Amino acid sequence: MNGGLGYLGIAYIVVFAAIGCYLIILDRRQRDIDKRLKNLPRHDDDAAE
Amino acid sequence: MTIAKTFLAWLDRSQESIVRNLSLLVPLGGLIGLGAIFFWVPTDAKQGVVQRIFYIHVPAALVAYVAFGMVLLGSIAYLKTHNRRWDSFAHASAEVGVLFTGACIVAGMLWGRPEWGTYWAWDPRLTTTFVMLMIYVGYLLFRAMATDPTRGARLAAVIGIVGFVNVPLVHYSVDWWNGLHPNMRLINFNGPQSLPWQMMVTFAYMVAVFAGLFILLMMLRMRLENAQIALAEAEEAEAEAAHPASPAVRSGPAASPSPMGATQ
Repeated sequence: MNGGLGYLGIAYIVVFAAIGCYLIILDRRQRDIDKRLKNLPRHDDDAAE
Repeated sequence: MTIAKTFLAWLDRSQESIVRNLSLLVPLGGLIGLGAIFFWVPTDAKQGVVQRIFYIHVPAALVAYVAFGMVLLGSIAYLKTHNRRWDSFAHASAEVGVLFTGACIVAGMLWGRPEWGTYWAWDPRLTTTFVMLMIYVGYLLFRAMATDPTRGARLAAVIGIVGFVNVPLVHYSVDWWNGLHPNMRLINFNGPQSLPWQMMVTFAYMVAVFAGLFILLMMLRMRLENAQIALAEAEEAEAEAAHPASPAVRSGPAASPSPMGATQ
């Protein structure tokens, strides 16, 4: 039972930190792709011709 | 397949509102859950405070089962319909499932050290869980390395279907073999419950929070996957417009826009 608090604290920190890191990675990748999609030149006029 | 089509159409319509609502509900629900875990639930008489790891360890495991079940469904639907959306669904589920399995294993190891005197033992539950993690990490690695996206998706779907065989093994390993893991029935229909009601309520609540978190992560991951597909198609159209006479532009692995090269 001794020292259980430390293991408990580390377990909660590690699990929630992992989920947080995953969310940050998803967000950064989404922003990167959105930016690249926005920067793509449009060829609608060429296609219309 | 009508149900599948209706489900995909509903997903398209509701994705943004689900993400918006769950982005508020999940953190709020998580904070309430943590409050209950640390300030309301009684401390276990035998194990002490470390038993509170149970409220993240078991929900993470249950959500991982569901995630790999989704991989199975998405893979079957993809092989049947060849609709890319099902492949995205399976891919997103596998990634989120690996995250939850990893979280479950780490939390379990940190619970095992004070209880069993070791972080890891080759107990049947731990071994089968480790194998499950390796199967789905392999699934993700296979996808990341596949040079032909369509073929990669098809083979990944086969891995997703065959790999699911291990999930019931993980669940029933404590019934079939002896090991360190307790063979505990959380809900007993024929007698007294194994846990006090406060523990049961908090546990059920945390399962709901983890389920909400799983849906949120799935939606975000699928949105990313769809954006990657849209970018790949836009870049392909761009390359075609820039070099209309060159067929070479259209082929080859360079078409993948993902930083992991994992899209189709």
